[in-house]
Amino acid sequence: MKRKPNYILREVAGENIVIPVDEAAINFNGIMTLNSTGKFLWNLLGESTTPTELIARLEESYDVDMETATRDVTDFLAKLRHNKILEDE
Amino acid sequence: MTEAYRIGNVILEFTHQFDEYFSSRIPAYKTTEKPEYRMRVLVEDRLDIPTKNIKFSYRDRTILEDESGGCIVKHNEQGEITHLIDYRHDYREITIRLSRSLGAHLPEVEYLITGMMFFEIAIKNGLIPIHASAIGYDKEAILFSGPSRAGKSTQAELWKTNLEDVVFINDDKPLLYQTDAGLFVTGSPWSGKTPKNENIALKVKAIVFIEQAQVNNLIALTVYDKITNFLRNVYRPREEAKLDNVLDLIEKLIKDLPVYRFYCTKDNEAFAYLYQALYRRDY
Repeated sequence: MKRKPNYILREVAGENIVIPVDEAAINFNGIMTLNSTGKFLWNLLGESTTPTELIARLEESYDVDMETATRDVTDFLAKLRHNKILEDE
Repeated sequence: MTEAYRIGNVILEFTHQFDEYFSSRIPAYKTTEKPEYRMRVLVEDRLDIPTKNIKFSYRDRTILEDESGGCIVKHNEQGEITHLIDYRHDYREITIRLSRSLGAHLPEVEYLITGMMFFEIAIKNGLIPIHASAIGYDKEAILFSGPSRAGKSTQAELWKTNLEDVVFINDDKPLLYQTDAGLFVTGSPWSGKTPKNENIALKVKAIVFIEQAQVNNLIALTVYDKITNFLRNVYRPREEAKLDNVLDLIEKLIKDLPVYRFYCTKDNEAFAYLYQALYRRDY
């Protein structure tokens, strides 16, 4: 899975904001904000990946236990799915 | 009707076909300067789709592109083309073709589509349209922003009723821009349903996002709330390259300007409350 194209991540006044552009801007008029973990996962989802890999990378980079990493990744992927930003391959 | 107009820093040669909306809104912007942009409207019996690659389709719209420029095609429910917008990628040349079948709607469609395309030119030139009613008072501007029917024009009218030297800069989409001297707002002929606009530029004193309430209350917004309110209310270009212009300005607005949420009534008490809060003196 990976995130769909046509969404960009920008830092505005210290906040990480996901904004739709091109075709996505017509379909989705909202915006999404990400914390630092969200930003980390967002960047990884630019390439094809799996939930298992995301959990492992989060554990490694943020020094969190597997339970926390699993919860963070699951919540984040649910948020992207809810906003139809994720595509499964 | 072809004339050159200066709107903000944009010098536009503009050809329109109908006077209903423009006769009261655009003459103040006439200039003798040499235009850098050209936008013209034509009314035609038959509209044909140009031979360009389809970029994407959405509902009744298809976006086509090739190396020279793009074309937005809009269909009606019967599948007939109602308008075509041809534009060069740099927006220096825009041709809007309207179908004669639009009949009595032609003047309104002309006004709306030319506004939409002008806003793309504006953003490219650092002028960011914001959904707001902007007034000028005491050599500064106050912007009332918020969703449709929040009462933006009502608050602007209350200021005009209560103070002699209030001017309407733009009642729908004033243009924000930054200079070394600060953040400014200017009018444009595209002022929504009303012809209330003025060809002036004033430094912005405050931006107020309004929400109707039973009791007046003004609160300063958090950074997060400022970002979301601006992103919901500024005219957002579809293209990534131009979005950065908008985000740069939003960052500046957040950093340098007082931005509030105003829970407000629709009567003179709302005016008096805000006046006292902004100017630290009783009305």
